[in-house]
Amino acid sequence: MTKVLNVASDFARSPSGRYLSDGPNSGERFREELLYPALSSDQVEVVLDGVLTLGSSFLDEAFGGLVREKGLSPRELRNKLVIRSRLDTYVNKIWSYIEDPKNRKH
Amino acid sequence: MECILSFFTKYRDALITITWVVAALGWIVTNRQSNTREKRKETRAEVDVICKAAAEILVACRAYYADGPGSENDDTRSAQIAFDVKRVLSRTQRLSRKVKAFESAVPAGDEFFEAVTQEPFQSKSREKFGPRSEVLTRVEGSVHNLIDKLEEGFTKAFS
Repeated sequence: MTKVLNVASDFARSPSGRYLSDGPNSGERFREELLYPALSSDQVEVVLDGVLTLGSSFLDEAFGGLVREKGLSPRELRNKLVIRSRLDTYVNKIWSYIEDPKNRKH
Repeated sequence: MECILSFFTKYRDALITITWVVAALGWIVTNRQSNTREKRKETRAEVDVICKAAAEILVACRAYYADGPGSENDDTRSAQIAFDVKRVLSRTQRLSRKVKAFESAVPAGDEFFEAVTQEPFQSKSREKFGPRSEVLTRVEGSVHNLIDKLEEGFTKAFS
């Protein structure tokens, strides 16, 4: 079964920041409360369209954090995760954070 | 004189056809040149807008990092920067889909996105940073790179 996560409607229209201490719409909160639990489904489709702005620290913590903090493998995520965005940059960056999570954290 | 008249009489139909073909070819060439000129003008304007916006983001980043997270307009400033970054990325992507020569500007846009919104952007525990700090020199480098790729794309497409 595919679980669809629409970041704008299910989380926030302006996600920002890396950690919980950076604000209520942080990447850490998105990962812990929505993204990681959703990964118990066969497939997860994350829709980014509708989000007003996104930062790399949010994306890195939310998606790179799945590998870094949750121990999931990039291969596993390639099979499970589908990212949808009209802006290719977001999709490219998310996969680069997943493939290379350590080097991306600043 | 008689010779010329007989030539025109003999080849009248062919000459009419040739005249129409030449006129049509002339129209096609002029039209094509005019379209290329228009496309060049539109693309130049778009490149200029993106370059200006990217340079303004650098200025905004310098102001943002010069103040700490406690400043009054901190969230407003970072929201504006993030908004402007997204507009630059969208326009760059649209341009690259319209004119193939701008394809190399897309990875430069990705790098720009990362440099501007990297940690400690939107961090509530960040320090103040000067224009020669690592954070801001990376932003500056990515702005230069994006502008260079856009200019290169334009030269490649229209020279």
